[in-house]
Amino acid sequence: MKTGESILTVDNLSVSFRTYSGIVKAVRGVSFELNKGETICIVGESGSGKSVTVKTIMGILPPSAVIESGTINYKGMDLTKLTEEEYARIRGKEIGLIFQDPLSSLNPLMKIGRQITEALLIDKEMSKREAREAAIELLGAVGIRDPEQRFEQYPFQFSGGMRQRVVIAIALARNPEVLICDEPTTALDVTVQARILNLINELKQKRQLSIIFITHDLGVVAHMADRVYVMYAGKIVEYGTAEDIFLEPAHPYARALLASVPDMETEGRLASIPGAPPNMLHPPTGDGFAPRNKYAMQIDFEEEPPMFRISDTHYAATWSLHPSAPEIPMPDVLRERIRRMKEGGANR
Amino acid sequence: MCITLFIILTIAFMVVRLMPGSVYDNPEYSIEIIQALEAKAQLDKPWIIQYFHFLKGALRGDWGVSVKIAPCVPVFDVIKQRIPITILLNIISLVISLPIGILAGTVAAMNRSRMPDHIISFLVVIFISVPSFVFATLMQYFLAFKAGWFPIVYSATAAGTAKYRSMMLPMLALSFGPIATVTRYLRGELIENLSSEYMLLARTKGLTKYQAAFRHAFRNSCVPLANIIIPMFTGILGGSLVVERIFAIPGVGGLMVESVSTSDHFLTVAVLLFYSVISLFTILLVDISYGIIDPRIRLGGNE
Repeated sequence: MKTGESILTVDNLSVSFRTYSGIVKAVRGVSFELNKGETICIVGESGSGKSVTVKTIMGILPPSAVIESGTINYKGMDLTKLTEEEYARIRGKEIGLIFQDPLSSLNPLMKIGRQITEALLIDKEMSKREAREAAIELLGAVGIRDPEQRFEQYPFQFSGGMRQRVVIAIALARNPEVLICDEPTTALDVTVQARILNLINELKQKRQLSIIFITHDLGVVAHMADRVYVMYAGKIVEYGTAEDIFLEPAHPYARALLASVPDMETEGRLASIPGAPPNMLHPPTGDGFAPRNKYAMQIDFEEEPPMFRISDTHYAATWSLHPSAPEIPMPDVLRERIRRMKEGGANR
Repeated sequence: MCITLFIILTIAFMVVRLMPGSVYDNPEYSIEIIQALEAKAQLDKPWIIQYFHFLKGALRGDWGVSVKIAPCVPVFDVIKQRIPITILLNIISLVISLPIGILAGTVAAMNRSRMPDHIISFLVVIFISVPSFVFATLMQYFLAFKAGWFPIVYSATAAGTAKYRSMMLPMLALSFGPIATVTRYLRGELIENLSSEYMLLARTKGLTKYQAAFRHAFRNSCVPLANIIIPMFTGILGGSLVVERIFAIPGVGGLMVESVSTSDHFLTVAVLLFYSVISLFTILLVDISYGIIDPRIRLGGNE
């Protein structure tokens, strides 16, 4: 793990939504930190609060959302305390965001070129012609051929992958230091996915970006992450380096998640996680995953587990790490796979 | 379009002919005179023969003459006199209602579910559901008769400001509906666009809320708006049928009502034709404008 200086620190962040049926506690005390030049992945299933967390960082929560507690520290500023105007200066300039669905995130009735120059012209440092040239250069940089010609086209004339490249170009237009990718490849074909991921990695090297990558796809995590945060029911349940998480998953949810991913050796039925994620209108007490965990102990239902230290880089919030807890076996599939991975060395 | 027009013409002809009474009903004429007149206009023949006779005339550009309202004047000359005031009235109402509707719709959408939105939405429901002639009558009574701010009826002879003052009430009466339509439509479009993904992207670029709302959501909402404005014109035209009558405006709408009630059949058919041509033309305009305004349709064929 790189021990760079921290650029973005989220501390004990809680976000709730006021809805007609009650208060939905989407994010419950999430803390993580992003170091300069690293990529962290936040992994979790739908509804675990990943997207809400990054929307909070970007300050684009819908009006029904309330930040209950916590701080987001970026370069000494607490982002949760910024006014809308101050936030407008952070967005795009300091932190860029790539959305999940490139098909709907571009304005369908505006030329691609204008959507990029619009971002470039915000700082008022460029003339329109300079902005145009810079935008064409950007389009080339994200791997769009004939950028001059493409500049004059509308989003519907682009394929999904190409649109995502345009979205990336827009996100990077003002040279942000932090790039947040909210499931950027979910809506794309697998082959296009790989190309976009490579592009993001390449741009990260060139521009010294620090990346927060949101995904539920562990294959993508393996491809991208320096460090991994596993999120469940609005909480971080385990975090560590990619090796820590893939080779020594400790939290039962992380184990179940890994076990449910098929690989070349998978035979018979695919392992699945029984049950459904908790309803965040009534957040669970104790360990949120306990009802779906066949090894759950009494205390898992009653009291929330603290973060147990496994190594300097690896922490997990599960009572199974308590000294007096019984040994819980790793799922067979997983044990077998980890053995193979360790034998195969870096070939993960 | 020509086929539609032909069908409209046929139906108009039949409906008019099926009405009881003769074109030449007049207490001063004896039965013989009426029968002689009818024979001259071939009105004593079965309707199918009358129909072909009418079509033949129509093809030659002879649509018949008015009988009661302006005796012996060709029907289109009668209409031609009445067109300017009607068109003027309609265009002015449209011009008034657009900016007001756009403004109100934007205010409502930007303040969604707050007080301004509730007030505007409430008014919109009233203005859409109450027909224009009710407003016309109410305003005529309260603003013109009781308060005396405006003339009660339109005065064609008055010149300059007095003429326009007498046009104010009918214009207002005709504008309420369109204002409400534009407001409701724009509010809906804007709310949808404001909550779209590309608005989030626009804001993550660093645009402020209002910049993003104006440059992206507002612009995109106006595109479909352009396509309801043109048919709205036809709607105002329909409203002016009755409103013209209330304010005694010598327009095409009034002519239509008069010609029906005096069974001036040739004139009725001609006025109907006038309205149909305008409606069909606006529909054609809408179809063409889609292509001009929306790049997705404009460029669709090239791909």
